[in-house]
Amino acid sequence: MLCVVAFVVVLVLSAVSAKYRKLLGRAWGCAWRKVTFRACDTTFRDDVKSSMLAPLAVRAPRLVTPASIAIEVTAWLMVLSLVVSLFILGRSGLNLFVYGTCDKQDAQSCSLAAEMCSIDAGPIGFWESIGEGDVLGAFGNEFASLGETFAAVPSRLRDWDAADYAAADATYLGGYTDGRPTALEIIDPGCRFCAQLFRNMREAGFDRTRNVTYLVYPIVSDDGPRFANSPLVASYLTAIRAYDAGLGGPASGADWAILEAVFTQQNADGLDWQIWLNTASATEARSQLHTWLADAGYRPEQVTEIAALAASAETAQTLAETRTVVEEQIRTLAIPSLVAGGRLRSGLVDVDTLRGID
Amino acid sequence: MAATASARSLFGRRPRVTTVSPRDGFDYLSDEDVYLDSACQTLRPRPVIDALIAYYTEYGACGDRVRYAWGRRVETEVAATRDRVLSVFGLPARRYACAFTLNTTYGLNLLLQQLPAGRYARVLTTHTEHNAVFVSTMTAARRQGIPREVLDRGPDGAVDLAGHDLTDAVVVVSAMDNVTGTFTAHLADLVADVQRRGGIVIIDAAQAAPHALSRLRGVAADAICFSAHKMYGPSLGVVIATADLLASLDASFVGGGQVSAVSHDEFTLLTEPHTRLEPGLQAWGEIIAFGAALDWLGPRLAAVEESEAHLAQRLFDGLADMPHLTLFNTAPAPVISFVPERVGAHRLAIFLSKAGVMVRSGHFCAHHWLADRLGLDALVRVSVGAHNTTADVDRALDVISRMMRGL
Repeated sequence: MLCVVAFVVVLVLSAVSAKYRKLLGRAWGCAWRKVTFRACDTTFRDDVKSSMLAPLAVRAPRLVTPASIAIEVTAWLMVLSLVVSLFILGRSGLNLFVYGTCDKQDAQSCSLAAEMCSIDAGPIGFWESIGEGDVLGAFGNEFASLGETFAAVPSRLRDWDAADYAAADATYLGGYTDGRPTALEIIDPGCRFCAQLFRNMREAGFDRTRNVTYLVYPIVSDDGPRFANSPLVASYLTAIRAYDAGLGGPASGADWAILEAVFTQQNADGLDWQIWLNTASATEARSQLHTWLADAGYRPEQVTEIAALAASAETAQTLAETRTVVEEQIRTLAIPSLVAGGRLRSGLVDVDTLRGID
Repeated sequence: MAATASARSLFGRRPRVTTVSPRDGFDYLSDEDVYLDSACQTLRPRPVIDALIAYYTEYGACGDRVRYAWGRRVETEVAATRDRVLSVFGLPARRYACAFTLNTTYGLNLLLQQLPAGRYARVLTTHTEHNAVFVSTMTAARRQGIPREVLDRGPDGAVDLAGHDLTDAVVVVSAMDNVTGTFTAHLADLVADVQRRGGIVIIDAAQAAPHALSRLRGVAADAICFSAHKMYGPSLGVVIATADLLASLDASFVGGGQVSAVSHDEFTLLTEPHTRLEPGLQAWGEIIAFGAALDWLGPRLAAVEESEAHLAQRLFDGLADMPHLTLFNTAPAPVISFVPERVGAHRLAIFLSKAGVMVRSGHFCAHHWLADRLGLDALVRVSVGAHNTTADVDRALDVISRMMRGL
């Protein structure tokens, strides 16, 4: 193992100093033999080890044997650490490419990922499983997760069409305009990055060049919804679309009006409606939604009907189907996500990027 | 007294004997560095370094058939070195010539690979030869299409000829092995026996020339190959060979400095015998500086041999008393090898180097003898030279002893 460690060290030194590059050839030859399960070039290995032990041999020869063992153990640990690090690096890179985040379990914690509200995916993490004493499960879950990621690679390479994932009763920001390409955002009303994406789209004029629609996906974990009233808002948005579709006329745009209020406006106390909603009780939230529906022109009895529809099994079914589309077809771990310009973009998309999307 | 007489006879015309004071000629050495690898390459005394520098800074021209002053000086000094070499080895200039090559291995190969086809019946060598002899005799035998026989040696280094036909044999042996420093007993008798049966003897004197010159002197072998850099000279090979042997060689390495006339498809070789082994320009400065080395060594030879014998005995006794170490030598010699039992030889050499003691580790180019035949792992070799002092040996023994007890 010592020659593998030596190779890594010499590799790093070679990057900054040419004098180590000749040694790099010897180190690589030795390391390659080791990783291909052949005897290492003992000359190089022994030279490295002996040089390390030489000062001790001169001063305290009796300590050479324990030091030699310590070097071997350290070398093993370093190689093990290197292998694990390389695995994590490769896995993280693959996750970043496929899901837009290097950590599937906690997408938001990846500093390389775009800003997002993460959808915690899959079973518990490796170290949590190890902590629970489930060593086999830890490795099994790790490799199963890796397999899923590999399986998702082809989907990331294909040409994405937002229309393929739009709801049957989809509504569009500012109304549908013939000839414009469709863009689809996947949002949670409680996620602050969805609000920012909404504002970015407005600033970039994205909604004036695209037919922007949405899939509403309230993030849910084992502990319940990430944002307390997101499921309620999602059910009302879904119910509004279904209600308008049932009337047979054009969409009222009330769902987008609610989203605009949540994402861009403040209440009388100067508090963002989104922040207020995330802390309000269900009753307060429902009342505010009814106010916004009234503001959008719905009569009281229509508001009552929409409220009933929002609480119906039909709406629950629609939300469940949306959840399936997001998790099994789009397979994003990031909220918001945007399907536009033939690509899936995970997390918040900035104004310049939005302007640059073909 | 015997050593003094020996020195007088070696450098006969101007008997000048000098005792060796500590670091005589090696004033540039630090007391911190203990160099014990003279079997590989001796250090050079100051006069040798000065001679080489003088050549490069005062008259660094070509030798051989030039008409200008610097070239004439080079030619004169090179010729003087050739004469000195023959004189030192006690061999007559009317029968022998001295040629310069790259090293001992190169000299041996130049001879063996150019032996005339069909002249010799067999190649004989021994198991204790280093690769310069052992491997080159393999290829020479193959090239000649004749058998190669590998002989045993007795404890005194004598070659065991029993059961071997010496008729028209090419016998290639070392005068002193490079692992235990054992001088080949009855070497002159071996030469006489072989020559009587129409064969030739080529002696590898790489170790004997610096460590046992007085015993080698006058041995009338057909060729003697050694290295100037093991004999206080610069990096240079030396071949002393009979004019008859040189003339008989089937010239294969030929070019400038060797021919007197060249036609479309033919060439005429020069008559000077040494030119048969000297294709192209030579290392003039090194040859001249080797002359200076012989001048330096000449008056000190007896003292150097005496000092080496003293240091060898001290080393042998000190190593013999140490635990966890097996001496490979059975007797003291300027070259002593041992097997450390609790640490690898290469590792020990690195450890000793850290303590300022430089020794050799490995199989010393005697792979067949040590690794193939005896199955030994690497050994450690210590070898002394003129620059070494008792303090050097004592310090080396002290460090080795501490490591042998502690590791």
